[in-house]
Amino acid sequence: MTLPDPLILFIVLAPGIAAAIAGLFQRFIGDRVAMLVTTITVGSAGILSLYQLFAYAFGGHHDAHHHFQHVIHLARWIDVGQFHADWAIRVDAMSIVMMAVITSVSGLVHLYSWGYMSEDPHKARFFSYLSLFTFMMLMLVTGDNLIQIFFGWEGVGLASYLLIGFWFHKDSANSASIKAFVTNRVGDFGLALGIMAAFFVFGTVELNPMLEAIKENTFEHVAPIVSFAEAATPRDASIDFLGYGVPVLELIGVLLFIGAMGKSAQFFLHVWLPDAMEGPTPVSALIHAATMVTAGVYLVCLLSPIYEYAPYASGFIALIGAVTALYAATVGMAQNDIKRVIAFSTCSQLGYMFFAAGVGAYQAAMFHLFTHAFFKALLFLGAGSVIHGMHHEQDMRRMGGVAKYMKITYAAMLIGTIAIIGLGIPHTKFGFAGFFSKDAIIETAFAAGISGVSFAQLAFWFGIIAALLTSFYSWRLIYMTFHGPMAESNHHDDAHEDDGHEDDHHAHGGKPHESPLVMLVPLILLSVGAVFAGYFFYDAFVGHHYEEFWSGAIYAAPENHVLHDKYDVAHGGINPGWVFWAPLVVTILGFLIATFTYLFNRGLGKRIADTGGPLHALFANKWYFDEIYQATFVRGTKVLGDFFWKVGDRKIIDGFGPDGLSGLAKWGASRLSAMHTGYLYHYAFVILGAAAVFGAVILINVAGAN
Amino acid sequence: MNWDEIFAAATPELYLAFAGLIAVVLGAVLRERFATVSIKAGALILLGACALSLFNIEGGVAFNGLWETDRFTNLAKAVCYFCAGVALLIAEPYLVKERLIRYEYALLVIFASLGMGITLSANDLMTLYLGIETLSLSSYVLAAFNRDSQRSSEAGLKYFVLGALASGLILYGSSLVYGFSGSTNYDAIAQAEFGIGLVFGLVLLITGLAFKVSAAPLHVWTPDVYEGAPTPVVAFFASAPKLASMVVFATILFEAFGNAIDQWQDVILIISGASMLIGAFGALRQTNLKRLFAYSSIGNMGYALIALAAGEDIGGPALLVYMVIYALSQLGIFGVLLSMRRRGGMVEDISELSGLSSTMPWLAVCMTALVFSVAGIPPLGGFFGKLVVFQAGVEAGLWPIVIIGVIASVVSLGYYLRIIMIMWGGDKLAPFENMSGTVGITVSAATILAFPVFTVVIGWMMSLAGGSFSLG
Repeated sequence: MTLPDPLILFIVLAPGIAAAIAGLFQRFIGDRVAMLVTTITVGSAGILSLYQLFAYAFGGHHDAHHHFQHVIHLARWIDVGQFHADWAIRVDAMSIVMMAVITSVSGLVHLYSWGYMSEDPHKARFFSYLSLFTFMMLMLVTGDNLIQIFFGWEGVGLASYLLIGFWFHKDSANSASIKAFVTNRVGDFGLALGIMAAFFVFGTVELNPMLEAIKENTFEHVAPIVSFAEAATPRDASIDFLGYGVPVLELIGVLLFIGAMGKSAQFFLHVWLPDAMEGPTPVSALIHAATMVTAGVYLVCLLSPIYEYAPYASGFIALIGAVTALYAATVGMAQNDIKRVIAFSTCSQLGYMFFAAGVGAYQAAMFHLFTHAFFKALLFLGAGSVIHGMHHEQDMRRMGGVAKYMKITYAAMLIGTIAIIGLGIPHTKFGFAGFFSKDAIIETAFAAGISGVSFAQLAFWFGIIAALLTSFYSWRLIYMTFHGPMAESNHHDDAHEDDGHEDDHHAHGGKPHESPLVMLVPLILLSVGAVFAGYFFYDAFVGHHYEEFWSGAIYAAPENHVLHDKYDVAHGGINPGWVFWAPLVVTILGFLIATFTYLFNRGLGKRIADTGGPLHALFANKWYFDEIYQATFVRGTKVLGDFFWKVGDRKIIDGFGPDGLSGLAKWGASRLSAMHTGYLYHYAFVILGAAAVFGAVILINVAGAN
Repeated sequence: MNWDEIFAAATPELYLAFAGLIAVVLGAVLRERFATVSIKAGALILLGACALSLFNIEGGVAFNGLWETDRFTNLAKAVCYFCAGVALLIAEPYLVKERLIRYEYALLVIFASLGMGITLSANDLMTLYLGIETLSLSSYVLAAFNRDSQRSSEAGLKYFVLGALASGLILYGSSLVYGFSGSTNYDAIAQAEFGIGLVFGLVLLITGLAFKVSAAPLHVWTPDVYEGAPTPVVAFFASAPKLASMVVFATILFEAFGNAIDQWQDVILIISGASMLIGAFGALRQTNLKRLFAYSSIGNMGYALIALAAGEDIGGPALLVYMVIYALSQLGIFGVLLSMRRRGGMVEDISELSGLSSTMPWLAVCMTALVFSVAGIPPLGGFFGKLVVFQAGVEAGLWPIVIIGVIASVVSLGYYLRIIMIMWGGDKLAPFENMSGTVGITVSAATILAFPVFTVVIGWMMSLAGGSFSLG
């Protein structure tokens, strides 16, 4: 079922060791060895964990009602009073899925980077960061307590920051990395508060006792820090938060979800993700598409017992997820940077995952996470291949007709596009990966809506509209990039302006060229995943065997049966028949509009964009989020900082503190000097006066004693 | 008269008196020829007295209870004699260059030291007064030793007039105490009922003794005398007599008035707090190094008085430790001041230290270590001195004064760091003239003693002084 312990240890720890070797000893071992060490390590970890996933999913039947979990304790980390946290590797269905996704995509990205980064002077550093990220992400998904998860959470944040700013001589990359880091701080603050709240309520940060307490609805086996009434149970207990009595699970759930919002770029905290595209494209594929940004989804699914009994928190998740899915899709339509289109697409797909989790279909969310990792990594790596072939041109308006130069890349991008728009025939097994997972989400959302889950109906409709838009912007990308005539060939001259490589000079006369084999192999392998991942794993993740597969790793309350309800009436579900066809219809509709606008009437899209109109401006400017944040938070913070600096620090703290005290000292010193006249009779007077004072004091004391 | 008793209790003082008288005769006979020899001879005599004090450390009672020594007093005496001897040695080059070399100088230091010995051994107000006057009269003359200098004469005169006033207060206080307790003996006074008459006597005694240790607000003479008196004389004043006076202050309050601690503790706290604050703030604007260290010494007396206020059991050993560290580091600092000589004479302004780190690095290192030590920066000796004093204060529950002490320490860092900043950061000036061997050795030795090696010695001293200071 699972691998033996040493191999699991290898999967989790080896990338960290490889990162340390490549990072710390790069001067001694050189680029090539560093690349070899990291790529081979992560690649073999990927093969092992993929094998583990297959073995787990198909190798045996698990008890649906018994929680399958295997924890390897490595060391005690924190042991203070009631506060325990171990270094541990938790192996269950959740972490097996995540390990497979992380290490396999990471391994392919490592390989791909051999080609993509071949002209970069800092290869060892890059590969070291990549492996460090892989290690941190594995620590995140295998933690058996919230503290280790937090460690991994911050670790991937660090790796993300380092990799976005990898080309540190570019101002835009530096700003983007800082933006990502700061935005994530907001989310992480929520996460940290959530962990504290969890500790406050359950007296532990370890997952098992905490989640068991919720499942059994009793505080008997945990020792809450806060004192509850005698009969209080986790599901109905509430604590005072900001003056309101808040149900504990709602509070913990919302706070933790705020952390997830930051990491997974959900509405309000999504602003960093498009800018994160300043990083090298393999990074975008690995971190900002396939793995790190899904950590929030993973966290929500992992803590499903909390959200099952926190209807408001779940509704909030569903609402935010649905809004993000739609919002990002609208913005994605109007972007011209090939990577930004895919970035907003990522954002949108993450929205799908969240509203799935929000309506209680955690399995569907995890399934979409799983398939999305393959096709989104494929799209990014394909885009990277185009960018590489076009000499670091990213603007789709300057592309066109690339298909004839890059046939394999084109094929791979087509597969990725078909996968993301979720093409497939309902009620059959014919479809690409995205078909299985996205339709599962949309179906469960509708079923949940029927059952009255809050925001599920909204999520369904938003999901449908977003599916239309997804299809539109995905095909738009394909047409603008690969079809039609090549844009004016002047691109080569100014392409170097925003080009990360100083020593980048191709001898191809500006003609696009197909990428080297080392970059194509990952595309081909990911294409396989993008085609078949849904087909192979549908039954296990959300189909008839889902209870055996998840084996307790995801918890559903007895009244939550969206996964059963998602079938049509004939198959024991509650959904009407049209729900199954709606996604396909809108997908084809989107395809037709895109084809009409960008293939047959090439230039129409440009004319629409030029004509402007408020709607296009709104989309193209990402709904002015950056501007609004700039005007409120950034400037507000600056004003506040100015106030604290000039008034708080300089006037009050310095004024009464250092400056005031030293002024007082100087004043006292000058008074003392002035008193020191040098006249004997003054001195004598002081002496006799002192004697009088002393006498008075002692007399008072004596009188008091009597 | 029981000579065994007397020898057991008073050997060092008898020896000092005898040697001093011989030196007087020698001086009268040899005159100028004895001048330079007298310094070294005097230093030897004082170091001999130091050795005798240590040799005879158990002490005893003599002269029908007028005289009592024990390990505590003998230890204090040994350090006093040692400091006096060293102060005498480092004076020689200065006296030679300033053409002040007279055999009387050594004699005055010897007799001043004899005065210290007598006050430390006193178990009776009469003995105490005798010792104080022996010390004071010698000191007045020493302060005015450079009688051709207006400043030195003025310093001597001021010191004399105010000192006489203080002595008068002590004498008047003693007579009141005698009148109301019927005895001048410490032990007998301790038995007497603490009535209103004794209050006045005690107040006058405290006032006079606080003057002698230059604690605020009776410190007024100190800056003027420090500035005006010749530097080696100040080096002497700053070390041995301070130590002796403080220990005597403690002895009389603990032995004679130990039962009335609740009554006098507040007064000591007032003196202590005022001294620390005036020492800290007063020095901030001083540019003359001698004046600056005058304020520094006022502040340091304030810290020592915390230990005094803490009472005999808790504060006694802390007081001795603090004062010993203080006295030794003062010798080092004044050694540096003594080596501040350029062509044309001594310089005393703080700006003259500018750039010392590049012209005379070792001197700058020593001065830095010593100043840090006095300021109480770990791991230097002065830090441990302050630590034991503050500990004593905390143990006695005297929180407010300890807090004032900490604040004063911080403020006083302001001027200590200024010295260091000028030495290490200022513009380079011409180097000082080569310092003489004895001064260099003294400065170096004091610096080394300021380092943590010294904590071992502190521990030993604590244990040595700890057991011997109990009310009979």
